[in-house]
Amino acid sequence: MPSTLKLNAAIPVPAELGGWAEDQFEERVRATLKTSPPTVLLDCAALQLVTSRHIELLWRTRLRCQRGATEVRLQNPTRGLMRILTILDLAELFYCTPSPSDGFSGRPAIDPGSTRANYQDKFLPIAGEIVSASERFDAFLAALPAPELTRFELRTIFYEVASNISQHGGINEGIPVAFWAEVGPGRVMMTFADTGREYDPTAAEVDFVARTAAKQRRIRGFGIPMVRRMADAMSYIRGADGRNILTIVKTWSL
Amino acid sequence: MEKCSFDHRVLQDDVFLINPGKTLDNSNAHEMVQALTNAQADGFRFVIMDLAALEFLSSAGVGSLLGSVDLFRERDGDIILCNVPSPIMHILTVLDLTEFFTIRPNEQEAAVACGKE
Repeated sequence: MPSTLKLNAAIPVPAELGGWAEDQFEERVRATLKTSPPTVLLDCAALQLVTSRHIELLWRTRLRCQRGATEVRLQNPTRGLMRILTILDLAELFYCTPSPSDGFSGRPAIDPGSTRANYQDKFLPIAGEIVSASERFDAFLAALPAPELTRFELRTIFYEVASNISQHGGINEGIPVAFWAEVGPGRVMMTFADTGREYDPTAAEVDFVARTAAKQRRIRGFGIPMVRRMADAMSYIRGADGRNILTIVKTWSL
Repeated sequence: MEKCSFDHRVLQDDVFLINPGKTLDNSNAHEMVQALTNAQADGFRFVIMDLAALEFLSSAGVGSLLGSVDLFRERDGDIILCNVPSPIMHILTVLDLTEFFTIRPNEQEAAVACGKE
């Protein structure tokens, strides 16, 4: 079993992708692999909001390491990252360690117990079930130390996303939608997983102009714009198993 | 006036008042569109929407109002919102609709906005 102390320093995985930080990451991975280490540590502490591009980056890095018979371990994986990897059935392919001083135990990266959400639920994507699930979530929100308007927004986001999945997802009404909410200081991260057709609400051009919508007598299509305007961050991943994973972060001032 | 499934009353000759109750969402947005369409067809130029009891307004509820308002405006009328609770006003603010909709603090001022005393 290799010792952590003999390894290269952990390479931070950048939260912001597509620019200098990502180039720097790639360069550090390349330089590290040149030394043919037994293990590469990727520090994931910055990944508070995980997008499909982060997952692709981790996957790409894993493949590169695999070619050189190098193991990849995730250090300080956030609960959001662990949740997404679990949902995508990628959890078993990565190993993790909370910090270098803990050494490697060889245990799987994802400890199922540590991925437990503060709140989780499943509901069938039909109107009555959505209302019931909305009420259950509302009861959870009542104890949340957040401003009343924030709780109202969270409830609205839940209802709108659930309704959108139900009405537009082309979903089998017998297969439940899974929902998790994790609470952190001044923030809630909500995750929806459904088996409907692929739809990325973060990419769709769905915003509207009131005057135009009124002229068109438009009565639908305001849900996603509402959610996008209320959320602080959203990410979408289409899982390899064909599930849509939508993550929404809402923050508030403490 | 054709059947309206919401609490309602005729205020004055061409002013109709609707109270949608606690929720305006997927469950009743279509009925709201129908109620507004009927009111316009029955000759009401103005609808005052008393939102005092409204606790939840979904996007479908917003759509029922937004998609119907021009029915009235095209005939020199309007849908006027009054007694808007703060969470509902927040929804309208988030959607940049507070300037678009005619909003008054109470029923009396809504009636004034209809050109009525």
